[in-house]
Amino acid sequence: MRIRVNSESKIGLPSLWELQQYRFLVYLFVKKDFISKYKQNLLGPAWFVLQPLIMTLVFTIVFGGIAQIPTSGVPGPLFYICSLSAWNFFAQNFSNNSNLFLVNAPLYTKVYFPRLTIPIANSISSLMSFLVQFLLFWLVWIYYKVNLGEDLGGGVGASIIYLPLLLGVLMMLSLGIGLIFSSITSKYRDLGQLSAFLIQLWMYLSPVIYPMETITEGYMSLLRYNPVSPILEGYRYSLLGVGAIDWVAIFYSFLFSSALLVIGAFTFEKTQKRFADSI
Amino acid sequence: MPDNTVISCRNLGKRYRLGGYGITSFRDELTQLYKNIVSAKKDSLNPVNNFWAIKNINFDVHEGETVGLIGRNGAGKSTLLKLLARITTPTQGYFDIYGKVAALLEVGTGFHPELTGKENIYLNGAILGMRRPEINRLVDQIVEFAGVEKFVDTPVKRYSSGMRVKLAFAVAAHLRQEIMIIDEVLAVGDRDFQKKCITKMGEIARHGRTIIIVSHNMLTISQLCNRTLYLKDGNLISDGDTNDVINEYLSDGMEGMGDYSWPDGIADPGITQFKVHSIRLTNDTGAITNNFGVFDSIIFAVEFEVSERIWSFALKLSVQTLTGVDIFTLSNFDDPARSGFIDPGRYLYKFSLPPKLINQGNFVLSVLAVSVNEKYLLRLEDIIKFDVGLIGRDDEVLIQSRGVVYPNLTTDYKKLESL
Repeated sequence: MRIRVNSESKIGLPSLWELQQYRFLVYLFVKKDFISKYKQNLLGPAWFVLQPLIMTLVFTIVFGGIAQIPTSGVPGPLFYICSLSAWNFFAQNFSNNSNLFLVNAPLYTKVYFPRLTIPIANSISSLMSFLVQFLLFWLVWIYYKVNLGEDLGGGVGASIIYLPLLLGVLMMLSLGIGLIFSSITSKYRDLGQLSAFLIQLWMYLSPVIYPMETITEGYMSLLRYNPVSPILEGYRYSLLGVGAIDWVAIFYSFLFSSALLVIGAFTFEKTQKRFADSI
Repeated sequence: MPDNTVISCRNLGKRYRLGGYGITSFRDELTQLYKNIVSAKKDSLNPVNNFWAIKNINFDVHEGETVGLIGRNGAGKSTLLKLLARITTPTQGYFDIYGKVAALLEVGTGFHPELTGKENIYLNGAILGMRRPEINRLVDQIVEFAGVEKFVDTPVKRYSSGMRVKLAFAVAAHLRQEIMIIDEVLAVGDRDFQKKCITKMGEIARHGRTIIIVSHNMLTISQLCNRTLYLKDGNLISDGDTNDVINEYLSDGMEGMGDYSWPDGIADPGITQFKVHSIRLTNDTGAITNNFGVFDSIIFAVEFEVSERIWSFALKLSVQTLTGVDIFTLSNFDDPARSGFIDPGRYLYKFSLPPKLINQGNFVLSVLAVSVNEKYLLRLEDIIKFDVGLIGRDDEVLIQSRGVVYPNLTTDYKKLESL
């Protein structure tokens, strides 16, 4: 097999054939990610569960207790842990990918392997920790179901089949923006600070701690353009049976996410070609 | 094209931009943008800021060849290696590769301190392009080669640095790609381990793999390679039989008779605050020469210029035999005068080597300047060739011996008793 390496100005499509040969490497990257995350901590893998639990607790006290923001008639903790499982997936996948050039500089500048293996592994890692939080959601759901019975309201119905689609859009969006940011932070380190701030702000501008229906007209238009909003609403609709699923808005999110993913992949490809020279 | 060509480079070139490129802060970039608009010219078009690390490189490598790549620092060896390793892309031209490539620009790439020795073997192996069944098959051999059997399930962060290097090299040594591209990774570990590694490399070479090795060690090159490429100032100026090319390399630019000077100073690309003006070898009488006798002192004098206040650095002089055996590396590292800032100015540093130390032979001197954070300010490799001869003096007795050390011994011979 011949591999021709041409000048840097030519941007080719990443070879999928080559990528699939590195499946094992992707698996090892995911494993490394997992091990390195819990081994440095006192409580080990418990953090994967503790982090969303603590956030749920904080939200319950601050937004449910003090601010008294309604949660569509669903018990606060259940509402929060449901929203958080989706939001954390989005936020984590974005932040994992947003600085991937800087984090992986020692690899990228010393050895060749298909560069896309890293964002792919990052996305799989995010999906894995999502699964843990998803499981946690179900435990909380069962707890309330047992205690409240029929009073839980809504309920899981056939709409649960929309979940993979909704998660798919979240994945595309977070990966797309993450890749765009990775290219930016590879050149301007200081913009890395911005991504942490951005994701924080974005969370408050998304229906994570409050449902869309509580929003006043003025802010509604702002939230409507946020591609994460319809996904979160739809996600809660599928799992809790509250709110509404707006297919037009979801289609908008899908188009938006696809466009960002294409732009992200393109900038990533361009950056990886020059990265070794710029560091 | 012959069937057995595995690498072919055509008109390969790589241009770098000096300064203004790389990781900067957004603020700097805006300032630069403003400057560009005000001065109404684009910085990148300024030819001073562009520099061709290599240019118009053409060569073919055939299956089973072991090719050495030599050249002084800044000649473009690393750039060519990085291109072939596909870490960076060419600015000009192209190359074709037929077969699977493993490039070793360092050992232990991707080692993670929290992972165990075994887990790191898998990760490092996979990064270098090994398949899962391949690693499964080789993992025990790798562990044994590295001699870390007892610690396979211990996180690598508990390893000594020596163990880590051995493990890393063991993985590298078990790569079996068709084409291997190797940077000076041989210069690691203790002597025994180095020897083990060189033997392993030779073994790989004999098994029909194609190898490209970059090294400063002429001994390694001459032991392993049958063909050598010599790069100079980004151009491929020689390609042929290893011994011929090494001779050409060593005699190239070293006719200075013990005096090598640059009227405008010489500096590494991108380094502005430090340059060297001259390197001189003198004997006890102060005469500049590159011919010494075993009874002469050898004085190495380096004259350099510092153009802005910098934290002091280590000046290193390294002497090797023509075959690449290290004699010594001197450094002013322990010099008390060295700690602190150096003010702008011209300085002269002298190292004096006492007589009766180096045996007769031909030697090459390299001069390096290394900053505190281990960055090279200047690398002048194999810059001056000098000879030491068995030249007698009236009151001294010459001792003939082999090896690189002149035995400054005293002999005592007397009759104990008559029988």
